[in-house]
This record gives sequence, structure tokens and C-alpha cells, in this order.
Amino acid sequence: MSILDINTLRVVRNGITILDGIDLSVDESDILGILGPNGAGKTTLFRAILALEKHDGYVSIFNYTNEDRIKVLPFVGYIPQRFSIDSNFPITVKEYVSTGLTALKYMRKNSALIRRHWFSSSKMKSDESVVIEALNTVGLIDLKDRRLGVLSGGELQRAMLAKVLVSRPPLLILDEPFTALDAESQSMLYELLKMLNEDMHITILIAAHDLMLLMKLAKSIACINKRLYFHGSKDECLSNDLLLKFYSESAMHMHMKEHNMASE
Amino acid sequence: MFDILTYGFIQRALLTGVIIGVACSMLGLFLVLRRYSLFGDALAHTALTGIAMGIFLNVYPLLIALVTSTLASLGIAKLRSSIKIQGDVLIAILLIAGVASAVVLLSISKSMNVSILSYLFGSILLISSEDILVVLIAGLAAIASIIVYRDKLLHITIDEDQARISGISVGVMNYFFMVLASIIIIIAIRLVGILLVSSLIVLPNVAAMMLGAGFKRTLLASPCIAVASVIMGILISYNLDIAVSGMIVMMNLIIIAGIVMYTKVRSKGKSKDNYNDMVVKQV
Repeated sequence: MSILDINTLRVVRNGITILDGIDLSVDESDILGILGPNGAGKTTLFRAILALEKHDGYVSIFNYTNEDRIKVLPFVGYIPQRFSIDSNFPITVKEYVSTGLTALKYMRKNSALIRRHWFSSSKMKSDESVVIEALNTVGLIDLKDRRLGVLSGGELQRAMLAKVLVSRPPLLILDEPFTALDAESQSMLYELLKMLNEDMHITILIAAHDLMLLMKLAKSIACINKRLYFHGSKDECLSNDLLLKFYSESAMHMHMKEHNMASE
Repeated sequence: MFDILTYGFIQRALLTGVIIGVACSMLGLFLVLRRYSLFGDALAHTALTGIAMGIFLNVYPLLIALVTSTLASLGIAKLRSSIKIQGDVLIAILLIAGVASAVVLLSISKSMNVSILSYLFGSILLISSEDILVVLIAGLAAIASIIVYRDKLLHITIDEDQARISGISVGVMNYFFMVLASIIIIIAIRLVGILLVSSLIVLPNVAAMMLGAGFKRTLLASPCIAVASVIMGILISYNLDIAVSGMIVMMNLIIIAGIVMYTKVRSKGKSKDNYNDMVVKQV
């Protein structure tokens, strides 16, 4: 059962074609890793999926196509690559994470919109306990009364994740979540995403530079550079030499080399 | 000193002043956080055009002012989303256009006189019962809607895209917020005048943001600071026979200075404590 379907997607911005002819479908409980060099259009792809970017073609989320999908967007969690907040913006970590309740309330009210097993509203926990649980999950409970703006890059990333986890969305989209993190936070996030996927059957769409981490995490892979070059299982991707040649100068290939050298 | 509280015009000034102060400070928190601090100034200046038209046409000036500044604010919202102009440039254009067209209109109608001064600098002690009714209804309605929509407004302020994904109609909320801002600014002109409107919007929030960490606390502290400066400003200015609007702003500035000194002293104390702790630990 596919959760996300993309057909002949095309994005043109200021006369420049950013994405063209993208066809993708993401099955339930999949972890799809999106690979591509800088400027390949990964962020644009995510923004187009979320109706934040004008596009041609079809995008269906939970079987709601194009304009119709606006009403199921709260069922999608999105963690953008960049998020900045002023250091003196008066908001605590807990208050920020609580903004995730907006989506949760929407989901509870409109749970009939999507298939039952994608979101069960039966567990009616209190708002407070949901927020505390999310803070605990990402390990930010001790910082809950700090101002959001004073967090480090990695902590801010975890706060964003906690905000999204408040509503436990059946589809999670993460744009380069590992980039700002140190090794320790990276492996923490890795374990967390794996747990979300295995225990809660959350479908994950994730873009990354780091081929090693992505290959470990993803179940299937899509390679994008303006167009879709490959979409298939992880093993197919790794055995495809031609594919790697496409990215000969990209960071991805360099990571691959490092990886090979390290394992030799 | 307190027998002045029995005077009807002082009571009216305090009542309307408090409502305006609370409405402006709450609205202002969102404006300041969205880096729209001078938005209030721009709207107030476009209101001047409306006031000039009102004087010219002999209609209740603040009513026309409400129309012109609402149009201006909706214009900003529209322009901001459709063309890529920086927010501050847009505000500068609006501010200048407002004053220029007002000056032209006033000189055509030859009404560049004293009555315009009361709009420029405020005249809360001379507020009419008509004005009081307008301030009460519009002010309380504005305060109520900010309280009701505070979560959505906060969400949009932090991140418009995330708000949109969470199911908030960001476009509609932004227009609603602009109309709300116009209404609050128009009633604030009565209290401190066009030239000082942004003080009511910016200063209490600058002070409140220095106080606490959280949003809730800031949203509570800022109206308290506004109310304190309005009440002190009105009472002191009456006793010393000084212009009310200026005095209210001065009170606000004094509160900010007080908070700055307090936080400096406190952080010094804290670092001393930390130092002592460290010494103790080392021993």
C-alpha cells in the first residue's frame, strides 16, 4: 500500500527547471533514502510534496491528490534542513515542542480522513504527557525550560524532532538531518529513526549526503539530480556501478571512496 | 494626590489608556518577533492620510483612518507574499506615502491647524464619550481575539511553513492579523498620538523579553508593564502638567532601564555564586 505517490513532477522556479519528470512511490513502513549532490533539488522535492512549492504533475499523500492533500498535511511530519531562531525569541524548548500539539489536535479531529491503522486516535493521552514523552524520547527533558534560541545545532535538531513526535505522524520527511550533528547525536538520531520505523511503522523519507549512514538506515534508495536516475532497493543501488559514475564528482562518491578505503 | 482619581476625565483616561496599553503590547509581541517593529509606525502614518481626508470631508476622522490603514496593512500583506521586497523597505515607503498624502490633503483643505496636533501627539485627557465607546468595543474585541488565536499566531511567527503543514490557514491568519493591527493602532492614536504609537507596541515587549524565558510569561509580563507605564504616565503628567503621551513613553523607558540594571546586577551576582561554588568544589 503506497503512502506517497509522485507522478511526472516538475518544478520550475524563475524560468529555471529544478526538478523534471520525477516519479516516485513510497510504500507503507518504507525508509526511502534520497541521494543527490548539492543543488540536486532534494529540498525542492520535499517542499513540492508538502505543497509549499508550486509544481506541475501529481502528488498524492494517503491517496489525496494535489489540492486535496492540503487536508492531510498535518499527518506528515517535516523536519527542514535549516531552521533558525533568534537567541532572544522568548520561547522555551517545552513551549516550542508543544506547538506540535496543533497537528495532533487536527489529526484527532480528522482521523477519519486516513486509514485507521495509519493513525489511531484511541490512545487519548493528555497534552502535557505527550509533550513530556516527546522531550524524553529525544533526550531534551533537562533542557525543557531553556530558551530555544540558546540551544546548539544538534539540540535544535532534536527539539524539531520532538515537536514532530508529539503528533506521531504516519509519514516523516527529514531533510539532511545528520548534517548539523556530531557523531554521537548522529547515532542517537539513527537509532531513534530506526525505532520509529520498526516499532511504530512510521514511513520515513530522508535526504542525506552521508552515504554510509543512509545506506545503513534506508530500505530503498532514490537518486535524484534534477531528474530521477534510480529508484529501487538498497542492494540494487549498491551494485549499480553506472549509477555511481553519474555522481563521479559528487560528495556521495567521495564518501563511497572513503568507505571503501576504510574497509580495506 | 489620589483625589484626582475621582475626576471623571482622569477615570476615563485611565480606563481607555489601560485597554489601549494592553492591546498594543500584546499585538506588539507578535510584531516585534516577526521583525515588524516599525509596522505600527507605518500604519499610524497612513492613518494620518485618513485623518486628513476625514477633516477634509467632515467625517469622523478616525473612521476614515481605520479604512486607510486597513487598506495599507492588507497591501503590505499582499505585496509581501507576491513580490520580493524587503519588509523594512516596504514599511519605509508606506510611512512616507502616508505623511506626504496627508500633507497634500491638509494643505488643500487649509486645515493645517491645532486639531491635527491632537492626532500627532494624542489627547487622552480630552477623550469624548463617543471615543470611549469605540476604544472599549474595539480594544476588548482585539484583546480577546489575540488571546484566542495566540497559539496559531505564535506558530506562524516561529515558522510559516510548519504552521501551514500543521493545518493552520496561514494566509487567512495573516490578513486577520493585519486588520487587527490596524484597529489597535487607530485606537492607540487617541492615547499617545501618531508619532508615539510604536512606543506602545515595541517598548513593553523589549522590557518583557528581557525578563523571562518563556512565551507565556512574556505575553503576560508585557501588558503588565504597559499598564504600569500608562497609569503612572497619566497620573504624573496630570500632577506636573506635562503632556501625557510623552510621560507614558518616558515611564516605559524608565522601566526598561530598571530591568537592564536589575539583570546586570543579578547576572553579576550569579557569576559570583558560580565562582564561589567552584572554589568550594576545588577545596
